[in-house]
Amino acid sequence: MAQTLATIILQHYPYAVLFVMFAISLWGLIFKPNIIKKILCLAFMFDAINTLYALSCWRWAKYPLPAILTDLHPTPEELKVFASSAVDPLPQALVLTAVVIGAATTAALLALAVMIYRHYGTLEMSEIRKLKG
Amino acid sequence: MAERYEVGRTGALALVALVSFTVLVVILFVAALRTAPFGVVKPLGEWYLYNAYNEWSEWTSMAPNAVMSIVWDYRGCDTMYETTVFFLAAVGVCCLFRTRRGVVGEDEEKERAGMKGLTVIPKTVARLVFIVIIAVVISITLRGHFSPGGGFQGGAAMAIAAAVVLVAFSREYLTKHMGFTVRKMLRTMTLGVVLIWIVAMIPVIFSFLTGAPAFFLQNQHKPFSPYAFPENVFGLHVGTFLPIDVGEFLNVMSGFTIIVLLFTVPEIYFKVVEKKEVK
Repeated sequence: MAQTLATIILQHYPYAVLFVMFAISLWGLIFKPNIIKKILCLAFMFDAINTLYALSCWRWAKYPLPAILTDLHPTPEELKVFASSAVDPLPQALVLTAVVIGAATTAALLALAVMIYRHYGTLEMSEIRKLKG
Repeated sequence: MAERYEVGRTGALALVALVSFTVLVVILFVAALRTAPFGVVKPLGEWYLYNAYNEWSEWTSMAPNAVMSIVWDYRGCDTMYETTVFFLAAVGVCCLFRTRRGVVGEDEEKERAGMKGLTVIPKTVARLVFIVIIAVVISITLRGHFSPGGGFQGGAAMAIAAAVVLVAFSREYLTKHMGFTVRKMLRTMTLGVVLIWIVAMIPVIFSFLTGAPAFFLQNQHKPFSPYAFPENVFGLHVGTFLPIDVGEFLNVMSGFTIIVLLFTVPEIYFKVVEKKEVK
C-alpha cells in the first residue's frame, strides 16, 4: 500500500492531528459569526475529543488484541492472556455513549438553527443581535 | 457585518486574542491528555476483560465482546439513560418542527417540492446499496455481542440506508412508497425504548414473584443473586444483549431517520402550506 503523506502523519503524529482539529474547531466556535459554522465546529470538536479518548485505550503489548474474544470456549489461561494483552474496553464504551449524546445535541442545535432562520431570516450572529429589540 | 472584523482592527487586541486563544487550546488539550495514562490498561479495564466471558467467574456477563458487556451489563444504566436522552432529543426535534397541523412532513399530499431525484445510474446503485446495507445492518445488530457492532451501530447504518434512498430518489419516495414517515418512525422509536424497558424490568418482576434478589437490567447471575437470563438458546449466545440490541437498533434507526426527514422538509412547504413567509 502506497503510504501517502496523510497516512504517515496520521500514523506517527495522531495527537498533533487531533490538536490541530481541536484548535481549528475552537477557533471556529469563538470567531465564526455563522450559526451553522459554529455547530459544525462543535461537531468537529466532539470528534476530536472522542478520537482522543478512543486512542487512549491502546496498550504496550507485544501483540495487542481487540477487546473481543474470538475463541468461544476459552480456557482460564487464555482468559489471562486476553486480559493482559487486549486493549482497554472502558474508553470505547464511554466514547460510544458520548457519540450518541453528541449526535443528539447536534440534532437539537440544528433544529434550533432552522427555527432561528425562520424567525429572523438570517443565521449571522451580528444581525440577530441587531434585530433584538 | 462590521463587528466581526473589530477584533483584528488593532494589532494589540489581535495579539492578545491570539495568545489567549493559544493558551486556552494548549491548556484544554494537555488537560485532556493527562486524564488517562496512555499505553497502560488500568486494573478496572483488565477486570472487565478477564470477567466478560469467563464462565467460572461470578461476575461474568457471558458476552465475548468486552465493550458490549460494559455498555449493556456492567454500566447498563448509563446506556439506558443515554438511550432516553437520544429518544428525548428526537422528540424535541419533532416538537420544534410542530405546526398547527401536527408534525411537519406528515401531509405528504401537499408536499410538492418538484424533487425528481438523481439520474438512473445513482438510482440503480442506490437500490443495490440499500440491500447490501440491510444485510450488513442485520449482521452488525444481531452479532453485536460477540463481534464489533451492536444496536447503535446497526441503527446508524440503517439510517444511512434511508438517507441514501432520500438522496438518490426523493423524500416523497421514502415517505410514500417505503413508508418511512415521521409518525411511523416515532412509533418504532417508542417500540424500541419500550422493548429495552421490558427486558430491563423482567428481573425486577421475577424478584417480586419469587422473592429472590434480582436487579434492574440484570443479565447474568451475581454472587448474591441466582437470577440469570438464558445465555445459550439454540446454540446462540443471547443473554439480555440480543433483545436490547434490537430495541436500541429500532430506537437509533428511527431517531436518525426522523431527524433526516425533518431537516429535509422543503422550504416551499412552509411558504405554501403553512403560509409562513420567511422574513
